[in-house]
Amino acid sequence: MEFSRRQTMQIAAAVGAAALSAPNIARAATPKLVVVGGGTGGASVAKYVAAAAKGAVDVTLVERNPLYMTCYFSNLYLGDHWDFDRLAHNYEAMKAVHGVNVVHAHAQSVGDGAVTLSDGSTLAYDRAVVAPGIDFKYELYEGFDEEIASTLVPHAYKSGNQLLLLKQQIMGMEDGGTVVIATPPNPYRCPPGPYERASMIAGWLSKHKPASKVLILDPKSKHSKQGLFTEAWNRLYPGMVEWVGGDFTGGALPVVDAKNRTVITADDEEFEADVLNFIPAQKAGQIAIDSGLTGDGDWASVDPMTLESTLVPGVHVLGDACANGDMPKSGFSANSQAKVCAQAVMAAMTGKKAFPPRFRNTCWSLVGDDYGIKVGANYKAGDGKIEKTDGFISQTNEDDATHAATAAEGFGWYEAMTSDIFG
Amino acid sequence: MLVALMASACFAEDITDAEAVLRADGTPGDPEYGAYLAQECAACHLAESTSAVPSIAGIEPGYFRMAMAEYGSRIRENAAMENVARSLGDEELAALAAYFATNQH
Repeated sequence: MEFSRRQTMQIAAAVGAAALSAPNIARAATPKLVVVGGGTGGASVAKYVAAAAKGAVDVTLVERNPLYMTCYFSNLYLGDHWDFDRLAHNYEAMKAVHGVNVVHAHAQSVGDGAVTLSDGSTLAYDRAVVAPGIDFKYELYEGFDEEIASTLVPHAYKSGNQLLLLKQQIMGMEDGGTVVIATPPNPYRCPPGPYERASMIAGWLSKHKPASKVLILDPKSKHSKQGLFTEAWNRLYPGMVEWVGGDFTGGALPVVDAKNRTVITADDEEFEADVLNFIPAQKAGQIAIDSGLTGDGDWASVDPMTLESTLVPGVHVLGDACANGDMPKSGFSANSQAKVCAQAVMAAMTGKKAFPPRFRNTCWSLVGDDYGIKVGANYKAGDGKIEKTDGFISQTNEDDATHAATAAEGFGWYEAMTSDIFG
Repeated sequence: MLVALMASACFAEDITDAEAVLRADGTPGDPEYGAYLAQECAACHLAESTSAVPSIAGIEPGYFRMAMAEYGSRIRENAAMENVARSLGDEELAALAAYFATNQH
């Protein structure tokens, strides 16, 4: 396939507009890229730009934490399939191998050629990338906030300390107890995540507290990989996992009685838990909102050719924080978007040739010992959004060997993905 | 070339490295485009791997094109790789092969 005239013109127009919006490029000796957020999307774009630029772009990565804990594979820790420490990744190779200037600080806003940090200092940029991941819409709930999530009712949806808290609560639960997972409305990070979590918790309970239950309260009337998860639960954990969908919850879970670990649905039904994992509705990370990147919505609108904001020129947004069209919010997606973004940034800052953007997502979920399922798709830059072109999903009634091969493939993916970002 | 590729899809016959870097019209693929495309491979394939996802470091261009043809025709079965193969046209396959021929990956 040759690139179409339309594609060539789109890229030329995108890069041309980008170059015009970089006011310092003519006078700066080395153009400056500042990346805010050292998660999967941000760290990937910092590494790929630094590797391609070989010193021709000054790359700074601003990240609050000295270690990044992946959200993907955090469910596997709950199921004793992965060590907590192996979720953590550092920025040493980013600095030593790729020459990225890593600043551990809290960025508060981005715009007008500078990133402002919480101590009031600024980092000047010719171009910026904002990849803050998600924040939670606590304002939608009565009786639930960040303090409660940190101490009593963990969402555990950003890995880290709340993940430890959730596992401690499950391990401390009496046999015969009920773990309630309250899932978020769409769109949210990692669509299969809550259901993989239910699988991992059920797997752990079946070995250690086999009279216990996992109850999934869902504001949605269907969910990711539903047929595959349901098949696995019936087969591996018969009678242990129950899913209550949006038709019964009234489509919302607005009230949390944290002290009594009880969720009250929109239909005024009360569900009491012994361990409550409440995952709230989500929005782009706060800095994207505070910097005007989300407009009146929850997510940052971007040009699918370049991931550049449609609202703030010279600032790209990628990963979970962007309105990513047909792509799911996932680590794989963020890494894929980062590679498209990196070449757009290189084209804008150095004139390097850019190729038509290509996007892909693949998502492996572990549901039991040697039992994996997967879904994936290819995407293109469509008319105003990232569009799905084709995809695949595991089949029901797959044999044991296929489930085992898919599980093993997922473990291989994690090693490669984290090496691609942090290696 | 086309005949060779079609044959490989059915009978997994060898494709030479010299053939593999060419587009269907006989012109060489663009290794720079191949370098961009190969970034996608790094999401799942390690340079040195002991996992279920094999290393593709040092993969030979002819073997690469034969493998892609086999995923495309489901002689090799893996839904994720079949999805990858579907996304690669003649231009992309020649570009990746040309990039792999540089041995810089």
